[in-house]
Amino acid sequence: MRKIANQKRGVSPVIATVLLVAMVVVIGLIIFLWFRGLTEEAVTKFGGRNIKLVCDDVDFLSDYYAGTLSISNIGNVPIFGMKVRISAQGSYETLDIRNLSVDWPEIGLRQGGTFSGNLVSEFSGAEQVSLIPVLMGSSSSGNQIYVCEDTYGQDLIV
Amino acid sequence: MVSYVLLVVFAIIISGIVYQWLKTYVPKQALECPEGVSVFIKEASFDPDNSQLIITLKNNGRFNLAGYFIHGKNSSEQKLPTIDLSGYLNETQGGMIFGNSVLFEEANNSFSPDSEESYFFDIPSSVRQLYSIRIIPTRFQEIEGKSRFASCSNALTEQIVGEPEIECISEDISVTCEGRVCGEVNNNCGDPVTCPPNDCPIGQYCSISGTCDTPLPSCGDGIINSGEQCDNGAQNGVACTPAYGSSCIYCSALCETITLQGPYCGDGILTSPPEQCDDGDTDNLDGCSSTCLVEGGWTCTGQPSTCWICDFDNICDESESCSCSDCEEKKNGCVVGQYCSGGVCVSGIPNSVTDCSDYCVYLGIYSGGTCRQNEAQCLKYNQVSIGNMYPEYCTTSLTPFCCCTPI
Repeated sequence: MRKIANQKRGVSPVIATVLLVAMVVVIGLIIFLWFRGLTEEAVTKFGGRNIKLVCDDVDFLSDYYAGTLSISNIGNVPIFGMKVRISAQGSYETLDIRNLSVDWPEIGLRQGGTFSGNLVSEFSGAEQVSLIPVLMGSSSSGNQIYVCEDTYGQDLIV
Repeated sequence: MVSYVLLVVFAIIISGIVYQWLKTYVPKQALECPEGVSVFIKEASFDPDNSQLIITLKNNGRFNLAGYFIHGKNSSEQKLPTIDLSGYLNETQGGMIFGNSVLFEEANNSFSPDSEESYFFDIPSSVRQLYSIRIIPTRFQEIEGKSRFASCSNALTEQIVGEPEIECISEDISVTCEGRVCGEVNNNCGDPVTCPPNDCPIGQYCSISGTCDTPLPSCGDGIINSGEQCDNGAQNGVACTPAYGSSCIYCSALCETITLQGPYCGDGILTSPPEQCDDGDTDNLDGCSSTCLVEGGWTCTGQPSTCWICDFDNICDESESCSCSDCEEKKNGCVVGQYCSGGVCVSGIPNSVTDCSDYCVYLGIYSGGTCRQNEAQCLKYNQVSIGNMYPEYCTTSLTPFCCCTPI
C-alpha cells in the first residue's frame, strides 16, 4: 500500500526569513519616517531651547489708550510679531499686527523695543483685545515663526 | 538573526532622534538679572527751552551694571512710555549708544554699586514735551559660559521729569453751540460738533448761523431781494456737484450761498479719471507728478499712492519694489526671512547667497563687515552678542554657521 505523504505544505524557511526581514524593514522605515517628521517640528531658539519654553520668558507691557496701542518689550526675548485677537459680539478674529499697523518694526521688538500705533479704526466695536506674542525660531528647515500659546497673551480692555 | 540586527539598529536610530527632540525640552538657565539689581534716578530734569534731558543715575543695588534702556512719554494720561530716548544721548558728555540702549562706558558691567553718573540727552522738537521717563537697567550675564546682554525688567524705575503736555479738553457742547440749534460747527479743539436738536420743522431750514429759519417770503422768487445772498428760484437748495480740481457755489433754500470743494490732485484720494495716482502731494520726480499722473517708468498703487520705479540697471535701488527684475533674489519689500523670486516674496535665502558676508549684505539691515562665521565667535565681541539674541538674523543654512550683527 502506498504511503500517503504529508500533504501540508508551508513556506520554505528561506522565503519566511526574507519575508520577516522585509516586514521589519518596512515597519522600521515607517516608524523612522514618523519620528523624523516629529522631530522636524521642534522649533528652537537660543541655542537649542524649545521655543515653547522660550515663550515662558517673554515679558512685555501693553496698553491701549485714546486709540493708541502701546507695547514695550521689557524682557530678554525678542518679540517678532503679535497676534491680535479682537473679540466682539460673541465672536473673534485674529489678525497679525504687521497687517494692522505699518509702524510695527520689520525686525520686531528687540530687548527694550517699543511700539506705538494708532488702531482706533481697527479696534472700533471691539469689546476685548488680546495680544499673543509671536517669536522667530529655527528648525531643521530654516527660520520659523511660532505663535505662543494664548496663556502667554495679554488682554486689553478697549 | 538579520531581523534582530535590523531591529536593534532601528531602535538605536529612533532613540537618537527622540533624544535630540526631547533634549530641546530640557529646561536651561533662563537669561535674567540677579535679585538685588537696582538703579535709582537721583535727578531727572527736562529743559523744554533747550530740549535737553539731564539724568543722574545711582547704582543702588549689589551688582555692577552695563547700561540701561530709557523710554519716555509726553502725557500723564499715557500709561506706557514708548518713546525710545537712547538715540538722543549726547555721547560727548558720557555714555555710549548700544543698539537701543545706553552703555555706561563700554561693553562690560562697569557701573559699580554706589556709583553715580550723569547723562545728557538732546531731545528733538518732534518729541515735544517730556512728562516722564522709565529706566530699565541692563547688564551682561554669563549663561552657560557665554556673555549675554540682559534686560533687568525687575528693576525698572520711572520718574516724572516735566509737566504733561496740555491736551485740548473739549468745551461743553452748550458752549460750542451757543445760539445754535442745528448744523455743524467746530468746537474749541477743532472737532466738528452737531448742535442739538438739529431737527428743523418742516418748512424751515438750517441757516449758516445755525438757526432754523423760514425762507424769506421773497426767497424763491428768482430775484435777489434784501436779506438774500442769492435766489435761484426753484433751484434753491439743490446742491451743485463740484468738478475735479474746482469748487462750485449753489444757493441754499434760505437764499444763502454755499461753497463746495471738489476732489483735487494732492488730496491723497485717487480720483480716476483723470488721476492715475495721488500720493497726497504735488511734488514731481517722486513717481506721481504734480498733475497726479504716473511719471515715466514708475508704478503707483493704492491711495494715497505708493510709487516705485524699475530702472533695469541690474541694481536693486531702494525705490524699486520686489516686482522689479533688478530685485530678483533681493529683499526689497520683503520681511526678514523672505526674498524676491519671480516678482513676489518667498521664504528662505536666495541661491546667490553662498557665504556669510553675502548673507549679511542680503539682509540689508546689517553692515557687511560685522558678520561672524560661527555663534561662538559672535559671543567674543561686544556688539555681536546682540546678534546671538536674534537668531532670525543667523542662518544655519550656510556652512559654516553665519550670524550677523545689527548696524
